Amino acid sequence: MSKKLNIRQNYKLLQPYLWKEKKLLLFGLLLMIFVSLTHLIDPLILAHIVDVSVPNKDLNDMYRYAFFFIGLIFVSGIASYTQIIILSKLGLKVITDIKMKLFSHLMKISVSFFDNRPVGDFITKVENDSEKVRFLFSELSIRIIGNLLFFVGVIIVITYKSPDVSVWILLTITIIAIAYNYFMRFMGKIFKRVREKYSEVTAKINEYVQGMHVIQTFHKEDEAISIVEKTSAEKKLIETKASFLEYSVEGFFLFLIEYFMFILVIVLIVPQIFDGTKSIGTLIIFSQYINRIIWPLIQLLENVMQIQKSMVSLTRIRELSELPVEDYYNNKLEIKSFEEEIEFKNVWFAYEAENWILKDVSFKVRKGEKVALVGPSGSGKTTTISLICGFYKYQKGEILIDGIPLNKLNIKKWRRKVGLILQDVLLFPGNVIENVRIYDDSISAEQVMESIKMVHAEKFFEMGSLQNIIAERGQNISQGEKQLLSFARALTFNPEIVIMDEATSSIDTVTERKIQDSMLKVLAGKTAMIVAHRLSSIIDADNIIYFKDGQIKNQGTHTQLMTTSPDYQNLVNLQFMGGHDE
Amino acid sequence: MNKHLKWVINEWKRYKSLVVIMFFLTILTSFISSVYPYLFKVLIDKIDFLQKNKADYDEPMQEIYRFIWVILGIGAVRLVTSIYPAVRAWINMKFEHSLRMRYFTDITEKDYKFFNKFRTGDLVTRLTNDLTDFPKIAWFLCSGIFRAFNSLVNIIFIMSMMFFLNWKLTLYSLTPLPVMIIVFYLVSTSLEKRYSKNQEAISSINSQLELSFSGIKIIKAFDCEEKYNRFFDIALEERYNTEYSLIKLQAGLNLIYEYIGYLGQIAILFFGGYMAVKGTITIGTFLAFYTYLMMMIYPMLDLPQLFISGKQAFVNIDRLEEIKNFPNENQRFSNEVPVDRFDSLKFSDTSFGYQEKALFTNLNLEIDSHKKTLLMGEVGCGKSTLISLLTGLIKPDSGEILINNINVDKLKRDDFLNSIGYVPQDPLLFSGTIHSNVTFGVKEIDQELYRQVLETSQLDNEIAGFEKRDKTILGEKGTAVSGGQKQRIAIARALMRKPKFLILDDITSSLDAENERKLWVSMNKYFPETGALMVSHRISTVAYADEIIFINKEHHCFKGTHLELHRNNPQYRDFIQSQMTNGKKT
Repeated sequence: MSKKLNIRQNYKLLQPYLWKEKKLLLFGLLLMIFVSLTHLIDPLILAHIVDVSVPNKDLNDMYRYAFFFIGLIFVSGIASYTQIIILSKLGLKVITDIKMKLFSHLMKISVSFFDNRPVGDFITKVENDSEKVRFLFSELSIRIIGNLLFFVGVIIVITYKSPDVSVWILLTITIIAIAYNYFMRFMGKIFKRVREKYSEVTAKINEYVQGMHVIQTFHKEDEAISIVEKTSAEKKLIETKASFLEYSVEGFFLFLIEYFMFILVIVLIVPQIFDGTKSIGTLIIFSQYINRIIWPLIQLLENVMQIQKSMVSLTRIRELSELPVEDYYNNKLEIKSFEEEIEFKNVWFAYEAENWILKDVSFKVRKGEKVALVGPSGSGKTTTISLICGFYKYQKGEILIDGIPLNKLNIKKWRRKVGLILQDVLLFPGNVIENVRIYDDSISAEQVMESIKMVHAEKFFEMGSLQNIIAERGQNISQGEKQLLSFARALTFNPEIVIMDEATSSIDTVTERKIQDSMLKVLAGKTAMIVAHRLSSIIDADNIIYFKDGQIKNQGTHTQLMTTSPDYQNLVNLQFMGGHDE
Repeated sequence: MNKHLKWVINEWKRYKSLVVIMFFLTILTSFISSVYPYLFKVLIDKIDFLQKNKADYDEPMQEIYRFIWVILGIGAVRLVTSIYPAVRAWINMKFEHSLRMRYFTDITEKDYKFFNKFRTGDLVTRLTNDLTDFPKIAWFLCSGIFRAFNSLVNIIFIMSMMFFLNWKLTLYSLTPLPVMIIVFYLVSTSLEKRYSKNQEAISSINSQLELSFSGIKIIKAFDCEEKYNRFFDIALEERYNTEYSLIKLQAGLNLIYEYIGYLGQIAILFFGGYMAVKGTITIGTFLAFYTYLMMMIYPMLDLPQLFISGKQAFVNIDRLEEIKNFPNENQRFSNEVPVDRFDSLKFSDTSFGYQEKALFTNLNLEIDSHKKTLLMGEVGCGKSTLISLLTGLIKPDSGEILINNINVDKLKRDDFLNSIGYVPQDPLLFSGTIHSNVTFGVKEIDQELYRQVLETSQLDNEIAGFEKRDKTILGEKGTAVSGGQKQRIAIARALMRKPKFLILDDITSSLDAENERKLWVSMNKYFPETGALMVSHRISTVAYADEIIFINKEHHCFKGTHLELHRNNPQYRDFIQSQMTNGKKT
């Protein structure tokens, strides 16, 4: 995509916001002119006092100017405060709005998008990008416009006072500012290397502290110390070099500004003072301005770079918000209720090209049946249930729901018939009620309480009220209770088909009993597909499908398979009777 | 004397000469910066004088040019002193490096109790962020202290200059300053407190947002995508409000900071302007005061920063000292008796418990160090503790652990550690290649042994499938090497040292039943002499064990063959039974 097109599209994204708030924007800009003016004024007042009040011995004139100054800074204080608030608030509004739209859009895209990204990292990136976009409105625009106005103000004043001197001054200052800007970019690269070294030090320490008892039993302490010593010393060296370079070059620039420029001003202006064409006040104005103009100018150059970065961020956000929503979201076809059967007909599936996870899988689940999926890990059980939920598109074959292909159905309407219970129960931020009803406020709190009682999760009542906020990542709730909570969710939504990935983690006997009991309630009268990890689940199943390497090896009831399939026998012995499966 | 102060002084004692250098550099820097406005004053007064007495001078500019040389001279010194902050930074880094190494060395000597108490991340923070970040330990030790000193000297120099120029004007213009600074501090500290509180609120909302997407499958499966927007509404609105109040605070802080400068300007305008008009001071003095006052305000605001950053640094110093002062039992080996063989392993009246809760009481147990012994029992029965006692990672509360009938404490530590091969539950590999990890414990690599070791740990075929063979790098995450493979690398690492006794803490998760069989076949082939103690959750492992130690729920240990235990010990029978029927319960 070309850069120009990008900018135009980014502008299109922002334009409605800017337009809506145009009066506020204009007012903010006006205030900014006023604030910049204030920063210009005090050398002029000093010059006036030196040039007029002192020679004339006019006290009243001096006071008048001093009071004028007080009045001016008082008003400008209010102006500067208001202006910051106006622009920052605008930025905040825009970005909150954009984020809101973005998040609700992301909810609608395919889950495969999130497969390859750790969600935490992803949100952090979105967050960083939004901050940069917000920065564009608040600090960046305030500084850029403010500095620009100030710079223009200075040019006007000094050109008015002495055009020939001001040409020299502006020329030198611009060169210095550009040179300094280049230098800082160069330093930026060096500091990046310092940061990299630093994270290397952190990584090494982290690794060795973590494995300290291995290091100790292998008696390798000295090696570990010497490696940390080496990395840390490298960091020290490069950082020392960087700071000497930075400060001495910066010192040189300061020398140029404070001394060289000052001398330049003296050499240019003082002869004119002796001629009587210029006053001492002019010298004061120039000497004050040269110190004040250089930093805004350097900042201005830096800010231009930051605008580019903000634009890149904005583009990234825009691209996210343009990601296509799930494929068969817009299908019109739906089934009133699930009546007959789910059928897998020669289904092939791969997450990545040709790396088949499911190979030619065929089976049927009739209404009201409880089907258990078993097999070694990685054999395709979880993938199978993901396909039924429509999280991924299968490549070959067909999944038929009452004879209708799944990818012709409206996926949302279909999912409403399905209740999913996952192995690791991830809690949503918010309280217990919202966790059970997933922020669906058409479900009343009473209904939620009913389900919680049914799964014996009364502990949540003891926790005070159901409004109780679940602490971060549910640390105040045990694994077993989390599972009960996900059963309560399934009960509340009352799906026609329950799809469940049983948890493997061991649980105390009391909770275990509660889970068994709740499971019966959740599954009562439902069609169910269970990735089974409990012996009771396979024994109770109407049909067991045994997966191996993405294929179905055997099907049948427990007693049938125990006699017909040695593979299955072996699995039951190892997985359900012996110890772990991986 | 205050212990922190003592600590700081102790650190500086290592660099006595640097103290002197820093002292003089600071004074020189302050002097140069405070002389500049005075030069300006002299110049202006000179110009004023020359202009008024033009008749007396043919070439007034000559006077000025002469003066420019003075300015240039001062400027040259200024150029030299510009490295002052770099020197400060350099000393910061010296401190950072040496402190890091000292405390890291301390950590390498710590025992298991220490690592139980401190999480890795916490220790890493103490050795990195706590040292490096602004304004923590390293910064405080040099920059923090000398910046404050610099500010103080600046104030003294500037004040003396002002008094020297005109004491009356100095008094007038300085009177409002203390009040201003107190007001500034009161307001800004209260604002900053609210500021950091708001920042915390924002990061908590952010972590909620992070969480919200982890459950996307559930949200979709229950068709709640649109409903879930209600959460975003709530979270984002909360965030908007906090952020907005943060903006207001920030704008307020900016304003105060700016105004304190203006107030100084106003004071000079009034008092100085009055005196200049009246003729009691020259215009040069008037202008110099204007600059001086501006120069003085910021050091004054900066000075109390020393105490704020000091407080922060002292907390971090305490955290470092906590590492050093944590009691250490690793120095228990008296290094008297060398170990050249491994005949017997014995617990003799050994008792051990965690935090007063007894685990083993008067344990008497002998392990034949040439046999393969399987350790079994329910979760929490003390299997790992028994292993930690054997490897010397923890020390018994009473009683002895005897190797060849000699108390472990009397052994040479290196010999003892070299004779056992330990495979921890969590493989704990280091960054680098497979090869460097397998050979981690040895100095010279015996190629034949290396091959045997890879075969025994069932790695050889798998490594052959990797593109870079055993030069495959084990990254932090996302590498092709699976968890099970990592654990087998840990087994290879232990075998590579030709241990006399092998300790395997839970092998079931890395080896399936078939691979386990191969492991023991190869073990008997290549390492027939090596005895082993292993923890397993798989009943089938029983087949490879010569003896079994069963620990019951009361932490009593029973030793025997599978048949003996099965016949005589009902608890063992129940345990085996429950393992077979209860499925996942381990």
